[in-house]
Amino acid sequence: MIERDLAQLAVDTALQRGATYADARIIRLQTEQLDIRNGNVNGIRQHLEVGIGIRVLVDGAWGFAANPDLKKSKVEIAVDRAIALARDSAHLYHKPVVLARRAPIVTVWKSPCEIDPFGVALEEKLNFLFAAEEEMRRVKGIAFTEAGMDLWKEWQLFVNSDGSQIEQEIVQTGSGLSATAVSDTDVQSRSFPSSFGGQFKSAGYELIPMLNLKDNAQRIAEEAVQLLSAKACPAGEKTLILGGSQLALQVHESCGHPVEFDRVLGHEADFAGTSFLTPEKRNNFQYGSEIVNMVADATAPGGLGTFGYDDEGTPAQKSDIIKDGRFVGYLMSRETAEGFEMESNGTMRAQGWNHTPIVRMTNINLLPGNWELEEMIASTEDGIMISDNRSWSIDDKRLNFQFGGELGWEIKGGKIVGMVKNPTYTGITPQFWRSCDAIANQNHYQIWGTPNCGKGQPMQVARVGHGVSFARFQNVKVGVGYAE
Amino acid sequence: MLNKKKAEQILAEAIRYSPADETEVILSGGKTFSTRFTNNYISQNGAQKEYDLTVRVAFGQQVGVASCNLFDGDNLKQVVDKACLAARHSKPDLDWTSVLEPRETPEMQDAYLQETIDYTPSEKAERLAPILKKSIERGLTSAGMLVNGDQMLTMMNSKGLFAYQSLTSASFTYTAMAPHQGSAWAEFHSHDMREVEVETLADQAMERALLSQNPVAAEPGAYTVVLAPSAVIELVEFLNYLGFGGMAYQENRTFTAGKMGEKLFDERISLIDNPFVKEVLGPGFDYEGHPKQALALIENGVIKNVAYDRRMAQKSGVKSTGHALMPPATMGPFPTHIVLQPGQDSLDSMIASTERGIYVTRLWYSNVVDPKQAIITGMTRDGTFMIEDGKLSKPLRNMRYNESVIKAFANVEALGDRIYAFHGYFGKLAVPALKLRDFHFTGVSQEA
Repeated sequence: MIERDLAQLAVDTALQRGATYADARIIRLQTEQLDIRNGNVNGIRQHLEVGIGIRVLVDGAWGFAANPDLKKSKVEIAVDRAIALARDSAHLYHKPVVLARRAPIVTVWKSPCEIDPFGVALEEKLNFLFAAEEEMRRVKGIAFTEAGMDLWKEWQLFVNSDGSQIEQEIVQTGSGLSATAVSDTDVQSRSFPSSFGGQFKSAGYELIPMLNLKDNAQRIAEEAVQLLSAKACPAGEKTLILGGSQLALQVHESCGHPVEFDRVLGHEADFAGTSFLTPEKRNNFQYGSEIVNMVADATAPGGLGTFGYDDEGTPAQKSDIIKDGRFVGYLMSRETAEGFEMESNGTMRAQGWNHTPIVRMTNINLLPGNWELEEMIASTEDGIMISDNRSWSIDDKRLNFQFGGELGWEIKGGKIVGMVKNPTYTGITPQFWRSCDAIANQNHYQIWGTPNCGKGQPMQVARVGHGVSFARFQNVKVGVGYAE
Repeated sequence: MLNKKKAEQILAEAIRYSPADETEVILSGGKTFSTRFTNNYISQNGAQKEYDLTVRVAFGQQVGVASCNLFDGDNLKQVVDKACLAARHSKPDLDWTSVLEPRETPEMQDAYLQETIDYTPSEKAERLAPILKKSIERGLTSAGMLVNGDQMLTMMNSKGLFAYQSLTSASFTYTAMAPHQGSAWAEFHSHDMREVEVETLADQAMERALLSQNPVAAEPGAYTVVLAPSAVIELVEFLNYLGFGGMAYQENRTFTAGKMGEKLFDERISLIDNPFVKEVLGPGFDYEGHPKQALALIENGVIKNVAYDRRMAQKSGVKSTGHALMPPATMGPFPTHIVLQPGQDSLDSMIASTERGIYVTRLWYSNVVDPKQAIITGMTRDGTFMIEDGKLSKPLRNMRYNESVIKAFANVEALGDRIYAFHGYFGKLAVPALKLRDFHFTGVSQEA
C-alpha cells in the first residue's frame, strides 16, 4: 500500500471508529553523523527510520499511537489503540479540546537544497573534516581535537481529517570543530563556528565548505591553549556584549521557551516548567528595552526551525513575539489558540513519527538594530564580550538565568584589552532585556541552529533556530560561579 | 516485546549478511505507554513502539556503524551494507579492539513482569482519578505522568557471543501546584507497577504544595542544606559525569584524574555502579557484551575506580569494567547504574537536627561551570523551605546555587537511611537524602 493511501486509511478508519478529528504522519528519516578525534575516526553512524504516528480526538480528548510497521493491519491496530487511549482520557474531568479552524491544504514543500548531503561520498566528507582537524593538532599544547558533521533528511507525509495532504522534505546540515587544552587544574575548549557541534542550518551539503572550518582551526586551538593561563573573568557589575551562539542561546532560554503557550497553560508543569509570561501580560508587559524586537519566523531562509507547514498542517508564519520591547505574542497550536480566540501561528512540531506534536520554537529571532559592533565596543567603558556558550541554566519560570562562555574578551575604555577565562553572567530575564541599549546591524546578523532543544513527556528533541547579531546589556553581574 | 528467539534470529541474519572481518549487532527498544495529565485532566495519552538495530563492522581496524528500525531481509542487508561502506571509507581506528570472545552473560529472569506491561491505560486512568478529584477539591492543579513499558537489549557478534535482557518499567512523576506560587514534587520508578504508590505520593505532594505558598526571599550565602533524594540526584549525576568516565579520566579532564586512591569525600560517601540492585535494575552486560558486576567508584570517601570499555581499557592498560555505551560511543564509557549507598539518618532527623538551614525538594536545570573543579550551577524547584529550630519554618523563593560537587560530598553532615530510584541522563540512579554544610546559594528568583 503506498504511503498516501495508508495515511488516508488511518485517518478514515479513525473517523469511522468515533474520532471527530484525526491526523496521521508517515516519516522517513535519514541521518549521518561523522566524528573525528585526534586524527582518528571516532565514529561514523548512519541511521534510517520509518514509522507512522496517529493522533485522534474522541469525545474531546486526545489519543496518540505510533508504530514503525507500515503494514495495513498494523496501522489499523495503531488507530484502534489511539482511539482507546482517547476514550480513557475523556473519562476524567477533562475540558474538551476544540481546535481553531484551518482550511485544508494539499501541497508539496521542500527546503532549499543544492547538494544532497547523502549523495556526497563519505570519503569526501571525512577528508574535509580531517583537513580542518589537522590544523588544530599542529598547535602545541593541545590535548585533543574534534571535528564533526551532522546530516539530516526528513520526508514527511501529513494527512488530516480536515482534508489536508501535505508532503514535506527538509534537509539540514551542520559541522564544527573544537580544540581542548588540559592542565592538572584546568580544562579549556574553543569551538568553531559554535560550541556543542558547530553551526547547523536548513541547507544541503553546499553549507559545509562555506563554514570555513579550516581557516579558523589554528586560531581556536591557540585560544584554547592561551585560556589555560588567561586571567579569570573579573567579578562585578559590568557592561556585557553578547554575540553568536551565546546570544542565540540567551534568546532561546529567556524568550523562546517562556512564549510557548502550552507551557504558559501548564502543560509542561511536570517537566520543563511553566512561564512568567502569563496571559494577562500579553500587550501589557515591558519585556525588554524599546530597541528589542523578536519574531517567531518559520519562513526564515536557512533556519533550523524553518519548514513549510507545522505538524498539524498550519502554514509556516512570521509573527511578532516582542515588539518595541513589549511582549505581544505566543507560540501557539490549534488547540491552545482556540482557547484564547486566536489563530495558531504554526508551531506544533513533533520529534519524528513516534511522538505527538507539541508547541515548539521555530526560529526565534532577535531582529538586528543599527549599530556596528566596533561602535558598541568603542562606547563601552568596562565590559566583557562573549560569543560561544559553555554552560546554561535557567529556572522553571524562565526568570533567573546563569550562562557561561568558552572565552571572554575584556573591554576597557572602548578597547578590547585581553582574554579572560571562565566568563559567566547571571540575571533576571526582563531586567536583563530592559538593560539592552545596543543591537548590531544586519551585517552581523545570522541564524544559528540549536539541534538539541528538549521538552515534553516523553521527552522530545527539536531542531530550532535563532537569528541574532550582537547585543549590549548594562549593569550585568559577571564573574559568578566561584562562590567562597 | 520481541522475544529472545526472534531477536536472536534477526541478529544472526544480520551477521550472515556481513562480509566484514568482525561484526557486532545490537537490537534495543521496546514499548512505552504514557498517560500525561495537566490541569487536573489527562491531556496526552500515548502508545509508542520503537526498536533500533545497530550494526558495527570492522575490516581490520576500519570501523563503521549504521542503524535502522527496519528488520526484514532487504532492509537488514542494507543496514549491514551501509556499515560496511562506512568502514571501508574510514581511516584505521588505531584504538579498535577486536570483538569479544563468547562468554556467559547474566540474564535476570524476574526483571520482566507481565503485570507491569499488561497494565492498561484504563487502569492507569482509574489510579489517577482519585488524585485528580482530590486535587480539584483542594483547589490545586495537578500535572504529571504515569508510564509503563518494556525495554530490551540484545546483542550478538561474529565470534558467537550472544546476550539478551528484557525489563519492564513503571514511572510516576507528579507536580502539585497551589495558588500563590505553591509547588511540590513526587517521583517513583520501579520495574513493577504494583510498587508505584500513586495516591500516597500524590497526597504527600499536595500537602507540601499547600505549605509552600507565598514564598519569601532568603539572602544568598552559605547554608546548611537538607536535600531530599530528588535534589541529591542532580549532584550525583554531575559527580558521575565529571569524575568517572574512563575516556575523560584518561585525558586528564576529570576531577578524579591523578586522584585515584585519594580520600576526597566524607567517609560516609560510597558510590557504586551495579545494575543488579533493584532500584537501578539493568542488563548485566554492556554494549560490547561484556558482563557487568558491581564497581566501587567511591569507597568510604576514597576514589576507587572509573568506568572502562574495552577500547579505553586497552589504551589505559587496564581491564574493561563493562561500561561500553551504544556504538559509536563517542563520549567513551560511563557508569549507568549508580547507587549512592545509604547511611543511618532519617530525613526527619536531618531536619530536626538543623538549627538554621534550607530544605530543598529538587535541584533543577543544573550545568557545569568548571569541569576540573567540578563546580555546577542550577536552581531549586517545587518546594524550598527555611529550616529554623528543627522545623520547616517558611517557604522560600527558588534559589540559584553554585557549588563544587567535590566540596559538597566532603561537607556531609548526615546521610539518609533509604535509597530512592530515579532516571537520569546517563541511566538509572538511586540515592538517599543528604544533609550538607556550607552549600552556596548565589541568587534568588524574582517575580517579573
